[in-house]
Amino acid sequence: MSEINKDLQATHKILTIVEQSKSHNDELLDKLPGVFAIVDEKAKILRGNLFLSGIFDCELEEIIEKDLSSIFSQEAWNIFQKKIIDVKDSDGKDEQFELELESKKDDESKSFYWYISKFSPSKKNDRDFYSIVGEDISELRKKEKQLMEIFSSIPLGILTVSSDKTIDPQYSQFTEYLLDRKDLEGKNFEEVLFSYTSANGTPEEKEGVNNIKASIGENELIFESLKSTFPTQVWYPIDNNLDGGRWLGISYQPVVYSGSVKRLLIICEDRTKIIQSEEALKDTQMLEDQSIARILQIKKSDQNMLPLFVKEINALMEKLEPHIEAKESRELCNSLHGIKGNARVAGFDFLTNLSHELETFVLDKNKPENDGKWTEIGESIQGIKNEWSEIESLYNSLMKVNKEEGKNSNLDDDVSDLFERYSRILNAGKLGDDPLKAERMMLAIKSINFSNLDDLKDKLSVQVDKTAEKLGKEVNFNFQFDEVTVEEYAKSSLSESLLHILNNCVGHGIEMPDDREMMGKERAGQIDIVIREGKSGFLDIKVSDDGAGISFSSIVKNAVKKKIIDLDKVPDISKEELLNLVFEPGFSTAENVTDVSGRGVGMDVVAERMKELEGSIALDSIEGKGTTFVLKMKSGKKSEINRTVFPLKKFKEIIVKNIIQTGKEKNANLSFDEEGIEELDKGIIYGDISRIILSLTTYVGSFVKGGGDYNFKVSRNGTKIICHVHAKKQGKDKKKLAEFNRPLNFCQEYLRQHGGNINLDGNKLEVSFGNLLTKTEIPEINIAFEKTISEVDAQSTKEKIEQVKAELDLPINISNKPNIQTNLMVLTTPSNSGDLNLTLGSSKASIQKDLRRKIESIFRALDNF
Amino acid sequence: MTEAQIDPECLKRMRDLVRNVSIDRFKRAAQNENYILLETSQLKRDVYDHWMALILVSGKALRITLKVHFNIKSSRKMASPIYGINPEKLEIRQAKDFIKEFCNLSAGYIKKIFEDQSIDVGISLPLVIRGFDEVFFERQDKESIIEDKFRIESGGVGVLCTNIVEVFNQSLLNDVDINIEEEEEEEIDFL
Repeated sequence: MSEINKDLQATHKILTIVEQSKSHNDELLDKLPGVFAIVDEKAKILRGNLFLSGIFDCELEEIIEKDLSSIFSQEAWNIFQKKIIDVKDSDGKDEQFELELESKKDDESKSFYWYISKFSPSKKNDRDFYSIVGEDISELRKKEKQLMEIFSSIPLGILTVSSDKTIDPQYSQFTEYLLDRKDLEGKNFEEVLFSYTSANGTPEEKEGVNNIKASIGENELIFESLKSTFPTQVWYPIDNNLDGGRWLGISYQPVVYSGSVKRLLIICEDRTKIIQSEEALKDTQMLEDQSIARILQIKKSDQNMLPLFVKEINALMEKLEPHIEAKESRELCNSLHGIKGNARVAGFDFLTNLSHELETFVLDKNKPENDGKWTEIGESIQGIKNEWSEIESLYNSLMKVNKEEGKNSNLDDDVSDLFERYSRILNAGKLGDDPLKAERMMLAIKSINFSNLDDLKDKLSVQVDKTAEKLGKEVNFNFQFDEVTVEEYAKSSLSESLLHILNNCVGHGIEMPDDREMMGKERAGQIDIVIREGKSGFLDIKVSDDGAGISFSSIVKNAVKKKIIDLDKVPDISKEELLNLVFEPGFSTAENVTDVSGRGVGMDVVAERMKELEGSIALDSIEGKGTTFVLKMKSGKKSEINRTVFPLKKFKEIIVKNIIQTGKEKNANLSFDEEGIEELDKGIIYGDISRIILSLTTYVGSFVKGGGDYNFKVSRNGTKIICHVHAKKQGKDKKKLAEFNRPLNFCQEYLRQHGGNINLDGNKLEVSFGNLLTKTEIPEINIAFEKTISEVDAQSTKEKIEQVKAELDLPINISNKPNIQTNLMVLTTPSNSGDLNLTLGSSKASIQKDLRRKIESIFRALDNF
Repeated sequence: MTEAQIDPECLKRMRDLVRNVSIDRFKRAAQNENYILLETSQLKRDVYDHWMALILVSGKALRITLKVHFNIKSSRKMASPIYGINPEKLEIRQAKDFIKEFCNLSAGYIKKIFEDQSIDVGISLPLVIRGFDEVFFERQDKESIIEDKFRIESGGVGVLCTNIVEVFNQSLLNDVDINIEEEEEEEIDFL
């Protein structure tokens, strides 16, 4: 065989294989499960497949030269033809689209997804053909339709977005309800779903919406990579909706053909209720967290001091609104400063911060003091009051629990216990018939407002320790105010003032430990607080520290800057005058404003408080050595004494009953010695009966101890009553004694107000008090009868008056007719019951005010008889 | 091969030779002396039928491409007498092979004519491909090329031939006798 023949044989073999291969490929195309065709520009079919011949209802071999347009409706063919032209005009870009195809077999339209691309068999051939592939998606559409029917019955907004970014005709009915609009078909999906997000969303949300747009038509992989950025929860505003709109939860599912996202399935759900619930839950959790935080703050606070903090904050809170109404910014700051100080010491951090922030806002000179600013202040005050209301409510609840569990007792509880105790004693003494009613006694006890300053030490210590700790400083305190008593309201002012002063001492006076060491001082600063009772009910207070002192140059600099003084006049101003500038409102030399001190609020508050208490404040300071504050204030107004005239005999009986009852209460054997008691059968006592009895029984009660054996007697010495208690055998019930210790100071005060004294000498207690009215002290009472009173009636009244005169040992003169000395008139006739109705009538006699008052008292006493 | 002026008469003579051979072989294949020849030179189509059988005859003097366009329905009818089977029962492969053999016999006869006159030519394998593949044949507007397009029918069925003759060396063909001698009846030899 020649070489040529061998080559030919080889070539023939290859050709045979290629022929077979081509035949197989052609068969594959023939059997393609969709339309396959190659057409010329006039849509004449050059090559088709079995599927297409099926549509034409002819044999495959008969399909050549058939017109493709014949299988389309005229309208559909116009679209199809336009797509062919688009492919022809485009630079190699294919067309992909969905178009209905009319089936000749069953006259039913079917949805096809078409791909058209240019087909050029030869470079030299200038004619173009077109490759057409049509994917039958009618079943898919049917399924979609079925799904849509199902979807329409579920509460989800389901819609698809086509490649031109418009919403397809098929969407669930619920979508219209959800979006509150109809005719969504053909609308741009972004305009429908995301117009609010695109305008008002976060940058991430806006980017997410753009990514949705960009991903439609893109490769599936690109879609998946962008999907995580799509917004999954958006606000959809609806005008006539109660909530103003809905929260939509959105999920996205791509509809992929040939690896590209041809459609986007969007599923929306109404998440409004869920989100509202979540928000409400968050709010509730936040409130619970806040409550827990507050409870912890209350628990961590000094339990002994807590009632005082609460009391003081309450008092300051009440001042806030009046300050706002009067637009008193300075006074408002003072109160806020006080609240802040108390809150900080108590550990109420949030309240501290709120007060501090508002104080800063009020003092901000950059904000003009107009109605707007005051409105804001009012809103902030409400916030502070709300916070306080929460704390106080929790505090009260906790205190109630503590009390029930017997865990804690405080001053108020002590007083309350005492009150109840005396109430029991008095009732046990069967005082129901006595003019000294139990209720009156209770009122008397309630008026006892004096207390010592022991608790103030604790409060101030806590305060200072916390402040110092915050500033990184070390401070030692020396309190000296034993035996000093002060009325509650004055105590509150004193406490507030000391708080401010100590804040300033620690904040500005005491140096940092290292600095002090370098200056040769102890690392810890020393602050002494000395309070003594001065003359005429005044307290003398001295607070001194060994800190840096006040810089005079700073005072001058600051005062000039704030235009409080002129620079020219500085040489004429004394050191004292300069120091007193510290008490000017808004003055502060501190460089740094902290929530401890340095804003200039504080020292002027102290000066104001002292002024309210008819006191004063002065300051002395030596740079580098320290500062001393000297304050003077009234210890209190002293509660009004309710003096009245009371028959001595009756008074004696009450005393004896109460002392015996006290002994029983204390489980002590208390025997009554009647020696000298008869001296108390005649006469009048003039004074605050309830307080005298309270004070006396308190002292006796504190002396008498359970298990002891005592003897007591009550006697008279001139204008004084003396109560002796002698312990034959002293009891050992110290606990009971402690109960009575606290109020002894003010009991002593009351007895002293009635000329009394207390002597405790070993086993003997002697309590005396006076103000008994004697004949010499009582002015003459000249009683006369009205003309209209019959002689018989007058006689009967005269007898009764004579009886009283003898019993009370009163200087009473009775005449039938009024004369110039008459100061008491019997104006009405006695009633049938025989009661004497006397009325102080108008007398021509000149009666002095004091005399008149006493006569009135006596008259009431008479009336009681 | 040098490009030389080709006499149109020479091209026509070669075209007629190929046509005559095609007709002769068609008559033999159809086993019918009666036939109808349809001139289809004016027929302008990209694709003529579903199938196309083709074969190449090539040598130094010329190259001849024989293309026969047909469909299975017609082919079955033509092949039925040869196979002795009803047209409907003939397999597609048999129908295709019939036309393929027709091409092969036509090319073989042309080769014999040239070889008898000392002109060497070779023939390719006959192939059957889709009629659509006609679009891949470039239309060459050259003076050395002549196309012939005609349809032969017999008994109501037939094929369409689109033959292309390209003359490379006219001088070798000047003395070629294009008359076809009557040959004895041959059995169709299927490949």
